[in-house]
Amino acid sequence: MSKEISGLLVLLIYAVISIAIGVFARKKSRFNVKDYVTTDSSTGILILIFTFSATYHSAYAFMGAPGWVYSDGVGWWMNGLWTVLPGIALWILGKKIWVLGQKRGYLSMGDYLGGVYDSDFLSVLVGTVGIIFVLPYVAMQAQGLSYILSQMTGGLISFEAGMFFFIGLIVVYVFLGGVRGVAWADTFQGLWMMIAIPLGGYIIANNLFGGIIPLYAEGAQELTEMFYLPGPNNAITPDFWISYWLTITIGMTVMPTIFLRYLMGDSLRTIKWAGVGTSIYLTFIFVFTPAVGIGGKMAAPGLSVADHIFPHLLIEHTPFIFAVITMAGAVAASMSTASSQLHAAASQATVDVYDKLQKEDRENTDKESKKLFNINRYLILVFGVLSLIIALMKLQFSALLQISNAGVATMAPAIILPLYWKGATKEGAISSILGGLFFVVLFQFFISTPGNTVAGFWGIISSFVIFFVVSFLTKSNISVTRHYEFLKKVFG
Amino acid sequence: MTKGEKLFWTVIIAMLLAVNPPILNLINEYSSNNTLTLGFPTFWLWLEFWYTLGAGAFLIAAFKIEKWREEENIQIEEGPFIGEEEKDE
Repeated sequence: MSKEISGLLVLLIYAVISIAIGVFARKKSRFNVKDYVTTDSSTGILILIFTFSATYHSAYAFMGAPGWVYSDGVGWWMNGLWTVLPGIALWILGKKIWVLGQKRGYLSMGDYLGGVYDSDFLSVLVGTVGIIFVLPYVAMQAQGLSYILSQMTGGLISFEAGMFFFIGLIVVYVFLGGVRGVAWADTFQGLWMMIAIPLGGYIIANNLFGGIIPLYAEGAQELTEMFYLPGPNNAITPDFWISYWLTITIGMTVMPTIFLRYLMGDSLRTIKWAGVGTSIYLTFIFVFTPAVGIGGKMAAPGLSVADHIFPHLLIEHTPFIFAVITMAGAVAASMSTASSQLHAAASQATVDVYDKLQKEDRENTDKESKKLFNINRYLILVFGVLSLIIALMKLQFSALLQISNAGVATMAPAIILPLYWKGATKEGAISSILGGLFFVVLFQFFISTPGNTVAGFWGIISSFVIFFVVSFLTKSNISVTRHYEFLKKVFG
Repeated sequence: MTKGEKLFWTVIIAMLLAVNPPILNLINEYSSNNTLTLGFPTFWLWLEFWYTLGAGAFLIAAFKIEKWREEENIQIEEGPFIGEEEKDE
């Protein structure tokens, strides 16, 4: 069998499994919006671990992380902080959000904020901002993966065909199975990644250098600067280190896709153990990533795109069939994130924007729930097509992507603080989001940040300061007080 | 906060301090002269140790902290929210 055909076959098997998951998830569907958006809080520990972890990872896990080591050395592992802390956040923050979700029926981040602050405007604002940031992300995942698909099939799949394959497959299983389809597919994809990423790294190290330890020994002789800060490009300085991990950790904790998973567990027991499992999974998966980056720098020093190092090494230094099966791990990593994003965007448009704008006619009935369910499903198709169009335009989204995580991070005070402080106000929440976004854009595009810090860091600092100042200056909110008192009653 | 929770948060704060400047600067300086420890990059090994300790502390805390064990059994009844009872009546 030729390389092209065997690569296509692996992709085909992968696609069939993903669609089968969507079809099976549809059979379990209760055909209402709550089930479609949060599985009606029926997700167990194992599925929650994998859907939470896989949503955290994009193509970064397979391409971005080894590429970063390839460029800047072991300093990349500051990212380890956002592998340990998300699981803890899932338990510490997630348990409070889950309890409120159970009591108040919250279905999304905007729905939660609108309810806590008694403000439909806040809900619509958060939903709209989320959609604006998410769709280019889906397109970017698809674009980034075109290289992998081309490598897997020996160039048989063109850029355009890769886009259709990637987005088309996601749309099918998300449309069919809703978040249950996404979560089950995440589990399948998460398992694939858990095996493929460490195993791929280990085999490469073994084939090229005789093992991980000989690889590091040779690397320490040839590329000493990669073994400490600030790395060969002087990129990872102390101020960059602190500002970067804080921005990413806080931003990821309040991503709309992650927030939905706080609501999905079937009990607090599930939330707790999924948190523990997530910390272990996310920390483990990168165990051989430094070896791939350092080994890659010695074996292929002149690579024009650093992020291509892992697939490049797999193709060049492992048997082709092993390489394509492992690279399907990259497809899994990208697909799990993009499908969660597509689903979250459609859910936000339905729950946070459409439903809130219908406030005069809003009814909490089965008929209304079914109507929202159908709107949500068809928005998956609409947003899928939009993402495809954006991807095919081959636009550069680097600026938007740079501010998207930081932009979401500015919502952190509005989301987290009312769980612990009844002085939080609606005015504080709205001004902190808008003010934080303003400072992110200001520092990203118009003013240089102090030292080597990232723009998002200043956006987060600003949003917290604005939140406290405005909340102190404005009248306390009865809705926030009720939420706070309820949590106090439940958790003591 | 219970004694177990205090211990857990102490480990997490210790982890955060150990993997950030200024403590990290000292490890970095040591790593520049001693790139490898037990065959692995010293700097990476330091970080990996603390992350594993953090994840391990979370695992042990999940088993041991009585308050968390009680919390995992909390059931939420559907019904009126605080303040809504009066309104409904």
